[in-house]
Amino acid sequence: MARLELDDVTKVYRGDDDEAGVVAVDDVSVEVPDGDFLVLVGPSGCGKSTTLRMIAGLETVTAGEVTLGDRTINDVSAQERDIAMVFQSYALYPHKTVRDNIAFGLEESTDRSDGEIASAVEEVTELMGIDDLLDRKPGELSGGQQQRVALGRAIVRDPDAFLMDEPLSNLDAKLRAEMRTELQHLQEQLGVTTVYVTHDQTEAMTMGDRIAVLDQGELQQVGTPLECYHQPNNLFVAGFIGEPSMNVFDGHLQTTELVTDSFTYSFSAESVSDLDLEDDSELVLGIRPEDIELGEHSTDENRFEAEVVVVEPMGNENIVHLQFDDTPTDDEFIATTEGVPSVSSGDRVGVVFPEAAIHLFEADTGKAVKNRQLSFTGTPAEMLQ
Amino acid sequence: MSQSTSRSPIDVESLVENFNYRRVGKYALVVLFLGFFLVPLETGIMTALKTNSAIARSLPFAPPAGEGFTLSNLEYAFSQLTNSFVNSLLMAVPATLLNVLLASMAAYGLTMVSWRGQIAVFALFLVGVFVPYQAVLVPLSQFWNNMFPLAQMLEPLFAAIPFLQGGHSRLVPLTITHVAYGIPICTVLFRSYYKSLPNSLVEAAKIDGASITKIYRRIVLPLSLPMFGVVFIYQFTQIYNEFLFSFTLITGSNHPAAPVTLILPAIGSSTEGIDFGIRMSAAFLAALPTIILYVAFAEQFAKGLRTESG
Repeated sequence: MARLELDDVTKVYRGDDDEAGVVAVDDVSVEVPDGDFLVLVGPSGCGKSTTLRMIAGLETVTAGEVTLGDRTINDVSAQERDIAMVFQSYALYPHKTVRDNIAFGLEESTDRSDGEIASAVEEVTELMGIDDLLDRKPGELSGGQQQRVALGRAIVRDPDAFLMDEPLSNLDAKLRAEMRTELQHLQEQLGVTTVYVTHDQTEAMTMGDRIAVLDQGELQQVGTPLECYHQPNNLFVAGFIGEPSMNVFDGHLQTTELVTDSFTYSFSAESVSDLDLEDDSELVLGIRPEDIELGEHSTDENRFEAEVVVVEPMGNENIVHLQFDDTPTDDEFIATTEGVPSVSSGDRVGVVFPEAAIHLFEADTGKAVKNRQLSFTGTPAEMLQ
Repeated sequence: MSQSTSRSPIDVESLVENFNYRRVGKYALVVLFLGFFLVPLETGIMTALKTNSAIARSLPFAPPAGEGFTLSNLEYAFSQLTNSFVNSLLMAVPATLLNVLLASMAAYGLTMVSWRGQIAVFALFLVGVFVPYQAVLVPLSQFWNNMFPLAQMLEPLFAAIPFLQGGHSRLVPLTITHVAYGIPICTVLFRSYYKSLPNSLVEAAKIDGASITKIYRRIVLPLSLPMFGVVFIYQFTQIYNEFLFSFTLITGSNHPAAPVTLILPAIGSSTEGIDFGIRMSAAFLAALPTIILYVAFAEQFAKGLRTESG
């Protein structure tokens, strides 16, 4: 078990005739303390898998340093790194039985005797609940069982670090939810430093001690799931984390008001002066769907009229698609309400954006200038740990 | 309910409709081609089993009747071919095995291990596929006779082996030649198979700590057994049937090391004319090893595929 550190890690793919090359991972620095669970999350092609493969030693590192424990492992071959990886396709050896699949890593990477290996394999298969499948081949197993074998193969090695490349994406929704919890328990139990790659923000939110959000090869934010949710560094993180995504409206600041195409939002005077923004700066207003209050007959000055386009009842909550009257485009925004739906398609409702829940981002850089105020007692940082 | 009862006669009708002329024509064509390909084979077998007089009197494809049936053709052809069978197998089996093994290793190195310049090396292999045998015959005989007379060196050794003569040492350079010229095409075949294997298997083995040779031995080799079957059948047939190299390096049908392909043209022809019964018998006996191989490996092949798909 060891601490894993990426220091300005960069990966450039160079074609034969392409001098500049394609930058897949750009200057990423993350530290994963010993025993921590880090989730690398981002859209397809953001470089998260490449980052993982560099840690595994399957890709060379163009620049920067990967440190595991006390040694820099840039030039250490994958065989020598003492890392175990779970692949998206599981990559079980199809010609080997479950027993041999799990034993293979121990046979190749350690000098242990056959007896020791056999007992280690049995221990792990019992832990994973697959001890009755030992003599089957991967082709005879269900997806969930294959997944367990793949995990068992990683666990039995007792490596310095686990790497997981979207290991749950081939499972059906119910099994995925089960395995998510189980994986978390396992990781806590084993206390092995883990890097987990996913594009699924639910997995990112629920599984990791911390998440690292990547986009186009660049690290956008590293933090606890709640930090990333409530205090996103920038517009990308705000939009990526959370389901349904945060609603955003482009606008510009006029003294204490934000003027958008559809509405004018008035801020309290002190909050704008705190922000120290220039007048007329281009801003993006963001608000999470669950923070929008619907149909409240309050006298709030930031109460706007909107039309309900569609209501999607989910059981525990309702996803309400809304549209402002004077929107030049057909842009919709989303609010979620709890309980039985109180509005239906075509209704006109009042919407309130509580000022405490408003996020503001710079339009050109996407950088967050104001995040929602958390109604926690104590400092937000304490609450989020 | 009335709908469902009235539907059943319509089903029968649509079934009948399937027997249309198009279908009949299709099957007729299939039967015609089946006959076209099978009649020569059948004719050959029948001729092999007939006496000379029966061959002259009956239709070529008619089965031998009564007095006209004989096994003496087969017996004679077998006695003539026995030695050359041994020679052919002595040469073809080790040549094919070596060939397939080396080609699979080369393909593994060229496909699943990444190193600089592998494309250029693979291009050389591709060129090797297209080397015409006729173009290399003279250099080949120069090489094995003058520059590196391996057969001569090994002659005393072969003379000491029971059942073999010193002349059998000529099979060694022939075997090596076949291995050398067979590797390119077999490598290409293996390479296409290895490209279709998921790369993650090799990566998983790497992370499990296996070295490049261990990955080949314990992961790639067992997984390519079905392909071994295919390439083995193909390459064995090629080498077993090959004539030019044998003719160049062994020189003639009188040589003790002559393989089947050198003996076959001479069997059954004499100054009195051609004995079709003996010729056909010899042809069938000569084809037998490849046929047996196909049948034997077909099962192995299917088994390999089954284990792979689980």
